[in-house]
Amino acid sequence: MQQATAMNNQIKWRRRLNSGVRYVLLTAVALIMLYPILWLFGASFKSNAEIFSSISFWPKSFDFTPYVKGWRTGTEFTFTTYFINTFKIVIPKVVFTVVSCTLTAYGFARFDFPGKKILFGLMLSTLFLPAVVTRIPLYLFWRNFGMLDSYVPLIANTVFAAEPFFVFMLVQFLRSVPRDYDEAATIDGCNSFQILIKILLPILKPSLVSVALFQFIWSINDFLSPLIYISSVQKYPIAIALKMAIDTSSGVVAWNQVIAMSLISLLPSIILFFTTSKQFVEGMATGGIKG
Amino acid sequence: MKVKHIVQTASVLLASTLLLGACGQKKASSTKDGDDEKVTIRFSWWGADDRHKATNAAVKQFEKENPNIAVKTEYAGWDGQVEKMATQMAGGTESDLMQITYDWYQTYNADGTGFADLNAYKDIVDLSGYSQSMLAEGTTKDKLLAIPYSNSTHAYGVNQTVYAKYGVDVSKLKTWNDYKDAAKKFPEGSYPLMITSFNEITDYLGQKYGKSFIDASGKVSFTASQVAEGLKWWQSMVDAKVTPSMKEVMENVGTADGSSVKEVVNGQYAGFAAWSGNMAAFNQVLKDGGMKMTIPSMPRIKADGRAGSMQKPTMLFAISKDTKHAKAAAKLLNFLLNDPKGVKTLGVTRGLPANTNAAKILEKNGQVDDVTKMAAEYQQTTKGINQSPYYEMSQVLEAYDAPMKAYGLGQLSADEAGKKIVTDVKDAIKQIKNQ
Amino acid sequence: MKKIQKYQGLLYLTPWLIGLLVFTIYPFVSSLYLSFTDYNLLNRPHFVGFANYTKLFTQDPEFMNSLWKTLEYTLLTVPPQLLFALFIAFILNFKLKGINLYRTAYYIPSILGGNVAIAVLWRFLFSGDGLINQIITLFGGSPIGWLSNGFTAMIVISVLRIWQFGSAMVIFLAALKEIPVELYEAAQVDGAKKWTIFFKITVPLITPTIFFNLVMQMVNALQEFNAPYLITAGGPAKATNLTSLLIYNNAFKFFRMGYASAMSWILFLIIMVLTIMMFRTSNKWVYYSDGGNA
Repeated sequence: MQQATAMNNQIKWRRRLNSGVRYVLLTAVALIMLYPILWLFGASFKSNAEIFSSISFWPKSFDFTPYVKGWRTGTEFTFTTYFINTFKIVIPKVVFTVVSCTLTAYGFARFDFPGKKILFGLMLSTLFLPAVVTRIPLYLFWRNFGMLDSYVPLIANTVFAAEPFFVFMLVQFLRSVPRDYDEAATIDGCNSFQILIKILLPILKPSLVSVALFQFIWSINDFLSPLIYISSVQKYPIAIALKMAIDTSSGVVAWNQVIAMSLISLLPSIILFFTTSKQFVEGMATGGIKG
Repeated sequence: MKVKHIVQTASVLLASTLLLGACGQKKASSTKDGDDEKVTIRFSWWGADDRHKATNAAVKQFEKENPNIAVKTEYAGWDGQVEKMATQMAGGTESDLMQITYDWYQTYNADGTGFADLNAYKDIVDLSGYSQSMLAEGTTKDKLLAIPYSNSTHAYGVNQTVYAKYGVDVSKLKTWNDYKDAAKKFPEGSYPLMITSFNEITDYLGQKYGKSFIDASGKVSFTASQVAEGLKWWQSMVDAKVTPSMKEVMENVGTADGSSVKEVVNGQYAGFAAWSGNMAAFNQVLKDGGMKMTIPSMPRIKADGRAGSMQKPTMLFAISKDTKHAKAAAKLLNFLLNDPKGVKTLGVTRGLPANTNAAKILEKNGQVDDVTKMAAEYQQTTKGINQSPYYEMSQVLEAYDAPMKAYGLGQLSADEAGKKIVTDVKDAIKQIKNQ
Repeated sequence: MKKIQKYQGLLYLTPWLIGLLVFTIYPFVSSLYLSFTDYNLLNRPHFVGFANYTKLFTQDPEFMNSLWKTLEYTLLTVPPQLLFALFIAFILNFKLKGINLYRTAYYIPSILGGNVAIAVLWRFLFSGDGLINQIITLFGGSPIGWLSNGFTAMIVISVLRIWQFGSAMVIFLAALKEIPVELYEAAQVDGAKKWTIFFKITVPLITPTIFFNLVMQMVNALQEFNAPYLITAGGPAKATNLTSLLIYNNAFKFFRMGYASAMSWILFLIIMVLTIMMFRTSNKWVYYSDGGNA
């Protein structure tokens, strides 16, 4: 009896130590990962001179004018406009990507048809050519359709699953789902589309969430495509608005404003990540690796 | 046989689509803009906040005075402008009126057909404030294709506060040797000047031989051994601790703009070479740190010797060759260049105008700040050598910059680097001409 | 029945096929065509045969140099990034309080992407007396001239990619989540040690994801542009002049679009060969639960 409690205590103590070590480790790595970001936060309150000469991240004074000025921008519009524009581009992109890439991945992962390997290779290979050289032909293409200065060229490819990264990713996830599920469902009288919706989608949820998340974050960061396709300032997304105050050609940059707005533009992505990454925790309650 | 046939057909097809691409937008420039028809023109520029604000305000004033012309302004920061311009020029979708760099002027215009010939609009755009040599900078094959807005001289600014701290009187700085003497008074790790680019070597060679590195027709004026001499001069400046070594510069400066370098901000590098238009940025960071900047006279070999500093236009305005509303664009251009209202609203957000009429208006109105004034005075008192339009084109720049850096890092000898610079630059220019 | 199945597969691919024909084929074929021309963005392209390609391999040592540098960069970044991502994902998969905060913290650097602030940040970290050198001196070392030496400059740009390991981590997390809980329970009943479980159960089950991350990170690393563009501009002495940067410079700074297209197609072929090799070897170590092979 006594021995048993001692053992129990020992186990408990061990567990505590274990999780203690884990927290220390996680926190240490997190600090290393985040110190640069903290430094940027501090830098958003500094003058140019202070940013480039001081190593400490603590600014001499907290003055929120860089945020206020940065938000107002030097244009006729404020950051509010640019945020709304960004969402007008990003939200359709995310929705279309999730739908079209799931369908395409399903086609590749669960069906056999002649030429499948070649088509799959073709799909992947579209990733291999540097975008630099396809940019101008694509621009001419959209110009001929009269679609310049609209969001269509930025969104269109997601409607047609022209995002091999996501298709390939979902294919890999689908392929780690045993086909027994599908077969059982077929016996129950499900057609292939019902199998996708009722059986596979729930299993795929975490990966679909990451597809949405990635597309959201990457689209917000995308700078060059909107710059090339959109010429009206009122239609700019934040990625361009961020750099409106940077004229490196004459060395005039209000870095604190630029950094302040960069940090603000990270917020939607961070919030979205924080809320959706719970998706990876859910279900853990029933099991998973404990302690 | 069959394969070959298919390839041929495909390439013909493609070629025709590409040609469509290159020429699809070209429409005969019918001058529809009669005085009573409402037209919309596009006007593009890059810059930072104050330029955006000033230019938008000037455009609003222009629209008020010309109710028949609406102006759509398209502007952004500098990042990505190179790609945007290239794509638009390839697609024939560039703005009606645009701000361009000297580099672009040369690149898109090698044969003199890249932009609209402004000679046709001389009755709209008043050019009386421009000197002949200034207009020549925007002229190719007798066509006036762009009008320089402002001009830059290669200048040497110093941190007066730091110099004073070490007991050096900046007003006595005249020759390169004066900087060597100053270096003796500077402590270890501090330097009176930063010599980091080939521009400084070009300045030195210009002073020595009275020629520009490349002449207007694209001929390299110096021999390999003369360039090597320039490189050795640079090394002598490093040895005398006038300037940090290339290695130190790479570690501390990297790809940064001079004005955002820590050692400049805290006064360790107390002098810097830059185009006069960029001096304002240096002035700002030093002011932030409680220090004062000044531009002494151009350092030279002998106090009464040649100054030989490089000059170039910084920003030019051009009108699209495909525009349908050239007259309206020319009207806007004139408003920005000459109309007192436009000039005052723009202020010095694009530097001091090269147009003397406009510069006078700004001076009278007290809009010229100290640094701009200082840079302008420097420009007037320094007899410059007009640099060839080829000099700053990317291929050419790459051709002299890379061997120079390799020499600075000790990977090439002065003779090897000199030889490589001359041959590579010649090759680059030959390629540009063939393009 | 089987025939219908065949058509069904293609049916799901229809949107993608349309996209392929409409958006992808055209720019691809035209860039391939341009690689055989002297296109400079301004004039009509003239057909020059294989001139661009012969020049690349016979007269342009810079191109060969950039290819080697790109391979070096790929080898320096992909393995550590993946190991790091897998390790962190494994730890973050534990049920701990506040784990979500940690996940977000580790992902934030990746959200930064190619943000302009990176350039400022990296200079702050790696300049002569930047943070890293200060830490080194604190521990008694002598400061390193990070950006003036070819190899250390390569490390500097590699650190950026490794620091941004978040995407690979998230994909691993999603994969870990999909492992059926019963498997772990069975193993725990058998009394297997945690690390045994990790190597014997977890790793084999997520090999499809490991494979995916490996291929994608390799493809991305071979096309890396942001890091050298923002931090080193290809220097010192071309030591970090990765192929994508070289292509970009040729296309948009030197206006040799035809030449840049030829470079791009060589890079395309290299990436394709490497990817095919990976798919070939994947038969040996990637385990698919659906019973098929790659």
